[in-house]
Formats: sequence, C-alpha cells, structure tokens
Amino acid sequence: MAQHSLHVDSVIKHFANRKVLSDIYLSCSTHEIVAIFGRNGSGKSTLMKIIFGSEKADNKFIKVDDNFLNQPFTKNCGIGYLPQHSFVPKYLTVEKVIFLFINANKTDSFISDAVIRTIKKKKVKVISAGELRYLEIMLILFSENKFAILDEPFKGLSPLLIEITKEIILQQSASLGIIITDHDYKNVIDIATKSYILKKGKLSPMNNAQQLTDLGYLPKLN
Amino acid sequence: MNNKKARLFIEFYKSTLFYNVLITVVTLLFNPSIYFFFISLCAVGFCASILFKEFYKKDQYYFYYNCHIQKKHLILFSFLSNILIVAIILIILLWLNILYM
Repeated sequence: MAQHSLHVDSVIKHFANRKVLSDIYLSCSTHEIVAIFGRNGSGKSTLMKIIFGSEKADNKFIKVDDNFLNQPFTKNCGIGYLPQHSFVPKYLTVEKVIFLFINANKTDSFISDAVIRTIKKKKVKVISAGELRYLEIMLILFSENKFAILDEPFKGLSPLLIEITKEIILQQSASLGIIITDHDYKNVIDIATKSYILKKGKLSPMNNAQQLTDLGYLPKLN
Repeated sequence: MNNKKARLFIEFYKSTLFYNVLITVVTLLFNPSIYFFFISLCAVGFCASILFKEFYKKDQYYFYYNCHIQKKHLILFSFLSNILIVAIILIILLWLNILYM
C-alpha cells in the first residue's frame, strides 16, 4: 500500500481583527488517525477548511507528498472533507448520490454495507439525521482519497452507529490518513493514533489524555 | 472532463433550473413576453437561483468540492448552459417564423 504524507504549517487566519489561528504545525501520514481537540470557537473547523482549501488563510503552507498546494480540493491530490453540516443534496435518492459520488469500481462494495443497503432506495430528505451522517462519512471514506478530514463525524449518530463508524474508520486508515475532530472525545481518543489540542490559535501535540483537562478542554473534577 | 464530473455539472445545473424557472415565471406576471422570459432565464432568474443557493444551500457545494469542482466553474457552466438553451430555442422560433410567414 502506498504511503502518503500531509504537512500543514505556518497557518495564519484572522477574522476581523481577531487572530484565530497563528501557530500551527500538523502532519498526517497513511495509517494515522490524527485527532484535534478544542473548545467551541477555537478554530478547528476553520483549520480543517483551510487544509481542504475551501477557506482562505492569511498565510498557509500545505504539502501532500512532494506537492505544495494552494487550494487542495481543486487539484486531484486526494483530500476529502466531511463538513460539520450536511452536504448531500436532499432531493436526490441515496442511490443517485452514490452513483454521482463514488467511482464505479467501488459502488458494489459501498452498497453492500448493511446500513446503506436499507436506505439506498430512499430520498436523502426522508432518511434520519443519523443515517444521513453515516452516509456522508461513508462517501468521504470510500472516495479515491489519500486523506480524509472528518469534522464532527459522530454528531447525531446512535451509539451502535458510532461503534460501526469507528470500525470503518479504523479499517479505512489502512489506506488513508485521517484527521478527525469531535466533542465526543472518548470515542475519538479510542481510535486516534496521534492527538493535538487547539487553544488560543496554537496547535499543541498531546502526549496523554490528562492534557485535555490541563489545557482547559475538559472541566477539572474536584 | 470525465463522465463523473460531467454528471455532477449537469446535476448542479438541474438544481438551479427549478428555482430559475420558478422565479422567471413569477417575473413574467409583470412583463408577459417570450423575450423577457429568455432574458430572465439567463439573468434575473439565474442570479436569484444562485443567490438562493448561496444563502440556503451553501453546504451542498461541498458535494462538488469533494469531487474537485469549484463553485465558479459550476456557476459558469450553468450560465453557459442557459445561454445555449435559449439560443437553440430562439433559432427554432426564428426558423418556424420564416417557415410559416
């Protein structure tokens, strides 16, 4: 299996006069599941959009393998992004979404998934929020990508679907590098191979889960 | 352009067409003329449908971004498709007009 690397460095982003991101270094390779933790409004989603290329930054340095990229999603460099909010057009059927999004050689294995099989004939607007989120995660993980960026993938999923999704993320990490953020930190820690915490615009590597409390992401228990 | 991208461009165009035709039909109430219909389809209705998407369906652009298609290319394709369709209809109308004059 080919080994790929993603390097993100020197990202600077201001909103109005507020510096949101200023001291960022992040790397991810095939087989790695990189977790990013941070409070609401700390800039996690903004950072992920900058890496994907849909959000402009004041300064950034993004490299996939040996290629420097300005707007990664426009090139076929293999970065997929699951945004925080639903992105699949609601008027389409699940089957049509798969037909449009997934390459023909992967369609059969995609449709053979137990959850997808039960919803494939339905329109996206009638499936539940959890089923929709699961479909979107699957679309990103089964696309022809080298890296997948998942912004709050567990949002709205039932405990059973979370377990299934974690299993699929672990399986797909055999051929993908995955960057993930979610406030369901226990499930993220379960699967992460490397973690960072984003605070006051600075992304710091995490050595142990205790740092989530020390750096103010989790409340201190007396 | 490969088949997958072509299908996605067409799907985006179809999604703008519904709002475009709807708005164009409403504008016809103020000026019921076939030429105004065409102008609205290419300008007023089209811009309104893109603005509608920008305000209410913005996240759906990620469906296309994930397939390496930029927003500006989707909008340009839809605009040119409208022009092409209107041009074809106008030529047919002109031809029928010459035929039955």
